[in-house]
Amino acid sequence: MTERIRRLRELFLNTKKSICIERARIVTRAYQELTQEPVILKRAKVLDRILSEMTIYIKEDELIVGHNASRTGGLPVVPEVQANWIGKQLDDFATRKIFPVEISDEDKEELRALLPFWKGRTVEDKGLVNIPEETQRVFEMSPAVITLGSHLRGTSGHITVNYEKVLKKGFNGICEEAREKKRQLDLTDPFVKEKLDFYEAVEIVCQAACKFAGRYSVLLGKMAEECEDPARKKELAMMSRICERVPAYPASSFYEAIQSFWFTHVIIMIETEGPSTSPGRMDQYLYPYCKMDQEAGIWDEEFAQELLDNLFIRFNEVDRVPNVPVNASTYVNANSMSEMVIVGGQDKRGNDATNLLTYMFFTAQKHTGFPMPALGARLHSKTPRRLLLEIVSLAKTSCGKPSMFNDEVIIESLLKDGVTLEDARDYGVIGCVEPAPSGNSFTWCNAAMMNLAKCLELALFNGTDPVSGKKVNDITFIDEASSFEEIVAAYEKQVEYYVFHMTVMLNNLDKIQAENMPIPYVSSIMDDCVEKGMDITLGGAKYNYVGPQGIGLADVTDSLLAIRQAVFKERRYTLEDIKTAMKENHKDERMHQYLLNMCEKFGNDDPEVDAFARRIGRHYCLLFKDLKNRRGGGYRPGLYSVAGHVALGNAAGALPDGKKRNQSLAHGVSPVYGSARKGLSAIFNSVGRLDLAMSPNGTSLNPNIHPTLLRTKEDEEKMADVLRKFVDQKIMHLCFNVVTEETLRDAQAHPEKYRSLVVRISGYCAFFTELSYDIQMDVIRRCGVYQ
Amino acid sequence: MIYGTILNIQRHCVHDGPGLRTTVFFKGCPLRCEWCCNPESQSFEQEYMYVKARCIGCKACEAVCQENACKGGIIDPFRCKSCGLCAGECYSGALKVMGSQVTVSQVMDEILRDEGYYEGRGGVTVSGGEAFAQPEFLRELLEACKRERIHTLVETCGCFSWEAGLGAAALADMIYFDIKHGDEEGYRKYTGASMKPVVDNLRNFLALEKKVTVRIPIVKGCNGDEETLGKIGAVLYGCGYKGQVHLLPYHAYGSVKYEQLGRSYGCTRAERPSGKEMKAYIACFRERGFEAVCYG
Repeated sequence: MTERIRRLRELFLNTKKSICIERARIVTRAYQELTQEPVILKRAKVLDRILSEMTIYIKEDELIVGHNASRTGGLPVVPEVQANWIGKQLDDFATRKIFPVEISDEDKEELRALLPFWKGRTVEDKGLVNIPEETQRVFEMSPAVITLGSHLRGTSGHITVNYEKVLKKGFNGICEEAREKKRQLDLTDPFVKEKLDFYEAVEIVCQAACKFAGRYSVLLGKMAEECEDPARKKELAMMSRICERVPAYPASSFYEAIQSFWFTHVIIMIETEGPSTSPGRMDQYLYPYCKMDQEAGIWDEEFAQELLDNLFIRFNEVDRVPNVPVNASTYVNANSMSEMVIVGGQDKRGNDATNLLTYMFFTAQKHTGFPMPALGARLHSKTPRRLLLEIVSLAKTSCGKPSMFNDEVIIESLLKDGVTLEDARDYGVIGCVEPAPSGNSFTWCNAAMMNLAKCLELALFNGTDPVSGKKVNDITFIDEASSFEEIVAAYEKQVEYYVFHMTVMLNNLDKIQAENMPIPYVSSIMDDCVEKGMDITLGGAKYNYVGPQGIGLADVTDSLLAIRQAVFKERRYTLEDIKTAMKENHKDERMHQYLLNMCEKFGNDDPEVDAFARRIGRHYCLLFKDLKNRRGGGYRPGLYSVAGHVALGNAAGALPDGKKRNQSLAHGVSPVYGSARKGLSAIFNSVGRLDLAMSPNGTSLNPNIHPTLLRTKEDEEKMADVLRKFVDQKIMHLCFNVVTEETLRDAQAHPEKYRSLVVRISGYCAFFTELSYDIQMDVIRRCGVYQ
Repeated sequence: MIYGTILNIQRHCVHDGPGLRTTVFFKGCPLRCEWCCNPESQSFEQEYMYVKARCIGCKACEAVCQENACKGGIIDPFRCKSCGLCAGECYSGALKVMGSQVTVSQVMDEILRDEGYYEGRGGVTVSGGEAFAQPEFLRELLEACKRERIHTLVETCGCFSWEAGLGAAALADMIYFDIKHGDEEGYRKYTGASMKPVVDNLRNFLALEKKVTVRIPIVKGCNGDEETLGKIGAVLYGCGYKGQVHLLPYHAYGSVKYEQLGRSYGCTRAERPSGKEMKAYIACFRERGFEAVCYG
């Protein structure tokens, strides 16, 4: 690692996050002035104003320019979606314990003046409209079965645009393409007005992006003139020339490609706050520029590595304001930009695509060691052993990376959803663990989470929530005379009921997004929006899905199996006993121990148990098979939980599998913590039997590995063997934390000693010491799984 | 059908030989090494282990015992008829029966679930206890592995009848051969058995041209001194051994198990050698022409 990277790294660690109100100021004024425009043009013009007016700056040392706020550590405000909660949290930001962010008194006052304009105008204020009364009740239920993604109080983000297209054509080229399409429009087309507006919006945002880079070019030029250090002067002059060219024109070198990429990327997070904007297969679309430099004889690998290192630090610098309710004692949501960079895997023809850059990305991660980007590796049966060993050696550095994705099951699942073979082989991963076709899809993959464990509670208590005591539905009935299959059927009926209402809500939300927050900039670089003349939120992308997650697979499996064993097979306890134990939070310790230790558990390589888990998972996933969304596509269910298993575990009470109140659910498709007692190979076999292609929107499996299992080179070779088996077993996703419980507890007690300790939460990584207590404890509890 | 007594089958082991391995722990050992860290593997009989920390005090074990032999998890060996009912009632797993009678095909069922993880490098490790103390069962198990083309490694203390063990010995792909001391007097003092068959069997394995690796537990205060290790070196030299020597520094993790078995840990003189001392021992073997490696 170079001295420059060391300095930039240190600077990042020492920078405090603070709220930057500049964007709010520009956007509010723009909305006050632009009252007549159709929403798509309004959004385009708003972006144009931000990019033309926002303060730009260049940090000392940095090689890649472009920021989403007016200063280092600044978090931009997106009043269009955030005004309500930002207003409520103004006095809390600086003093709160969880994710504190600084804000000056003047900025606070200015925001107080700006925010009232947004009353009734934010997406949240407009809210779900015209939904049936019953759905409204489900929406308002607390604790809830359904947790919607952040779309009411934020934007959906979660996309991978076609970066390659910008590198190849430049925004001028894309703008020209839109103009050409506009010229060719058939004026008898009934949607001609919408299309004309869309193309005009695309022109505006493309030009705005070029202007933005142009401003940097001018500033860099000026700084170069004034710079007294000859080496930096030369750099600044070169950077000025690069920003003059990209992203307006096609990139003609590796450096230009990187800078072009970065502008393209950061503007997405200026248009909206765009969580989980994922760069996708960077080693693939950047490689031609590496070749270009090699052929021109100007490839400098050391400098290229420095650029990538700098880029990896830059990924951490774009962030958003964390939404933590005032006086929150616990906070269990994910707060991560989760920009997934995915490397390796197959090319469009099915050959292994690993290249020099693949390895350089791993080196960049080793050099920087930060939570972002969420680095992932695609594995398949022909992945070179060197890459497997590289993965193990990175995992060993205890950064919770990379996450691994299995081509052998993901490609199959994409084909099932109607993706072409070429596009399926070129999939990327969005955010945490969500596979999606690259640059041409709006998979809306974090649409909602559904608490399967809560459905089980409601089934056992005939529609009364044992946690709140409230009767919430009247759709199922079981009693002491019911058979095991009748109990399972009641559970399934509860799930069906909530999937129905979730679909009503999600289709409604989809409409709200399209009507209020179209994203013309993202649409300009997402296939086939320009082709169709349609914004991505309306269905412009080639592939359109909605992805709702089911959480608590292992908990429901273990709970139902515990009932089967205790009540029906061994007759040690009655159903009433089980319900009493749930209500009393397992007060009878002997019975609690029975449920914990004497009953069958998922994750122990028992084919019968695993088949039951598969049945529970399949039941949820198949419910979405024929559902349609507004954008011309369907639903793609997932079985991953981000950090939701902690909150959803708190929402559910004590369960028949021995889970107590306020304990988290199992995350993703992992076994319940501490219940898989036969080691990693048994976990792999069990999870492999789930048939994960049924869950195309993603799954997560995150065991903790004790560092002593990775001590020697020989140990690393053995772990590489394990990764082969991960591929063979058709497990979709895998990621390790290589850390001991003692280290984590010490970090909890002495956060100052561990400020750069990064851990894997679910699909994303974070600094351990910045996590809320609940999530820290969740990571610690996982240590019992395999040590 | 032959039954064997085993403690457990541990899957996905990383440090028990080449590649990823499934380790089968046999129960019963002819030696009584003072420092033994797996005391539950010494007796050939089933026995009870009581982990107080897990006990919730429900006294279900007492209630179920027909012989009045169980008092809060502590078993009176004179009254106990080994029916196992008490452990069956212990839901928290505080009171456990150590050792189970199994057939080779039951063991193979478990092994074959791990088989996919061997990747041509790993396989089955038979540990103990002493594997060769159940020679027929061991032979059948190794035969079954051979049929499935699974690599096998057997750990042995070398203290067994060659005549009885030959059939199994010939089948094993690899041997980890433990040597605990360098002379008869010391060997007898710390293990309770004669060293003679051990040395003979090392020769026997070498004569069979088996891939043998000698392993020595280094227990400071017992055998962890340069004089003793020098003597072991001389024995190895005398047998014509030319392989690597694995040195395993003693740890006291096993001491709590004695109490859980209702016994007391007698090995108060044992200490874990320091890293510096281990380096000196490695040098001690290197001087005699052996490549030595420290594990653990």
